[in-house]
Amino acid sequence: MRPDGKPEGLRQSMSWLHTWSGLLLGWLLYAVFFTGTLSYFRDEIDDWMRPELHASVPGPETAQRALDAMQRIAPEATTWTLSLPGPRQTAVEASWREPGAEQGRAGLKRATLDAATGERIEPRETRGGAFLYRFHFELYAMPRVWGRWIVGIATMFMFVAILSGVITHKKIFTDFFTFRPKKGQRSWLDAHIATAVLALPFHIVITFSGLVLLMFMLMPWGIQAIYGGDTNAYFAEVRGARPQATAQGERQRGGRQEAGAAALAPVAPLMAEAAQRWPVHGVGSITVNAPGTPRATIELREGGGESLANRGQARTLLFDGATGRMRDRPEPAAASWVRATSNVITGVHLGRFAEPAVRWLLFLSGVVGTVMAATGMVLWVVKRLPERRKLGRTPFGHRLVEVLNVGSIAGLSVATAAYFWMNRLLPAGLEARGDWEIRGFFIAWLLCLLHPLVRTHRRAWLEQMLLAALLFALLPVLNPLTGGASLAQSVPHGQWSIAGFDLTMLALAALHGWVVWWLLRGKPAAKPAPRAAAPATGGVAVKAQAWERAQ
Amino acid sequence: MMAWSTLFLAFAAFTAIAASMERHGDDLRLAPQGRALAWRAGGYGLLAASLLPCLARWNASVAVTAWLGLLTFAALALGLLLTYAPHAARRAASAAGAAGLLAALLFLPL
Repeated sequence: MRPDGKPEGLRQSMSWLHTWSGLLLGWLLYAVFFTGTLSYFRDEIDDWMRPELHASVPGPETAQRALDAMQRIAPEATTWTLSLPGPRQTAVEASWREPGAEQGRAGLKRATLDAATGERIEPRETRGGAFLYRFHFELYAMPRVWGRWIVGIATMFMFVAILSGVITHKKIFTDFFTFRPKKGQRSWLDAHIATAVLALPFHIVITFSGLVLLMFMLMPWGIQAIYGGDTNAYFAEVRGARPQATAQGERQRGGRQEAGAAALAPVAPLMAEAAQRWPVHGVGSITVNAPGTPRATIELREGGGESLANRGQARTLLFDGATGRMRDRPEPAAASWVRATSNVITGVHLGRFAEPAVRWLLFLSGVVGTVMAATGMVLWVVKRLPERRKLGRTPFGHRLVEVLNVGSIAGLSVATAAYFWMNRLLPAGLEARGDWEIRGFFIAWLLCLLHPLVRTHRRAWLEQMLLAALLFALLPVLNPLTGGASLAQSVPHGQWSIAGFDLTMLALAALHGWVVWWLLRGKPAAKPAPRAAAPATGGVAVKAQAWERAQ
Repeated sequence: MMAWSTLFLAFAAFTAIAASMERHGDDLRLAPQGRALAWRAGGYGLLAASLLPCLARWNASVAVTAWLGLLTFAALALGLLLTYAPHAARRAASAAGAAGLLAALLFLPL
């Protein structure tokens, strides 16, 4: 690719690879990074997007109230499972299985219970955080397999971009802590490198583990050859499934007729016992088998795991339902090292193990990765300004990249904020409400892709960033106005899923506001060529001056 | 608390490493000619040691994950400090080193 026709060195060819693989897939990867990062707070988003749940304030009585409620709601059920409130959840999520119900998920009935009263709550229909989560590896409005293929291929290119980027950047160690602000292209390059190199372990791990998670679809041949196409058998074996579980359920169901009714022992002492053993995570869920019979058992499950090697597998305690006495149970088998390796890799990506501190760390690392992708795409434009200056006009390709950059970076923020706004502004009883929220997201995004076409480059950035900042900043205000719990309620009540969402929105507003402030300061040196879009020669002259100041 | 300890220790460690580098040595006024190697060795040593508080707090797999994440933010903080307040970096690193060590000594189950 060298104009002088000399052979290229490794570094030049890697630089070429990095530039073009980064640009072509950058927009997609930015969206994947952005929505994936938000997905670390999927449960919090789910809580926030169902304001009907916000009145549910957990207390010490929550477990007992929820069990009493289950006695009313589903006295005949063969099992109850209660997911208890915690730092990431403010209400009780209950599921149960009626006698004779189908196996698997299909046979489960679900309800959301108020943590204080045990009353059933009927929340609005929404996809919640699941939409952002699914979008980050399956995209939307296309067959799931296609979406996964596209994201999988983009992830491979991301891996290529990371490795070629490291090779391209020869001064990786001497530049380690270097950031030179107000120097135009140099500053963008520094910012891109700093966010890439300093978070390199995260980038490599998250990309590689993302590939491993999609591997079963991208490279299914090994599993097909050994399991003869029965992928379910493979996954069952990976999880170490116990086939006897169903037989046990049958027995319990049969037991109901032969034995009379029996009340459950109070759950408070059991909870106290568990809290003592699991000071960090506490009890996450309660499973009652054969409730209402003398053979009932109560199983308490820890709210999180300690190790990645067993995929954050939680510890459990088993009690006799009628007497509340603890029962012995065998230690779970340790994972084989192959499974442990796979678990560590995928577990890091999913972050299921993570207590709040580690989850925040992953979230912030995701933010750094998002910034890395964004600075890289802006850098592509900034780097080509001298070329443009020499030409005296803006080539179509450059303009296209500018428009797509604004629309995909600032526009995604606007679209995400719009998704949360739609959640509150659409009538709660609307038909196909969840779909309309998602349509709102895509309409906002589409408008943001069109908007830069009719604005100058700098104005487009400014306006969309300002809009995003305002939309994010007003979400905590909108929340109490549309039936949710305000920060003044959620913080004192310890409803951290709701308070955390509101506070994170304020932080996002501050981040976008900072970009607005920085753009308004109007230092062309920091961001050359504000009028890049202006076709008149006047615009070019301004741009040229800006570039000279940047030098 | 252990996470903070790691963060502070890593910050001090990165400062020591930066002191051994040509570009930042002057700002930090820590490394007279010829002492760079000592600062570098000390820095990497401290960086390795900053894993210990994490190991005390978490299972090994989570500890390494958290440690790598914390290193990122310690290095980012130092990078920003060296850019906008280079002469404050030295004092900040001493304070961070002391705080990190104190937190580790108080809370590590030694």
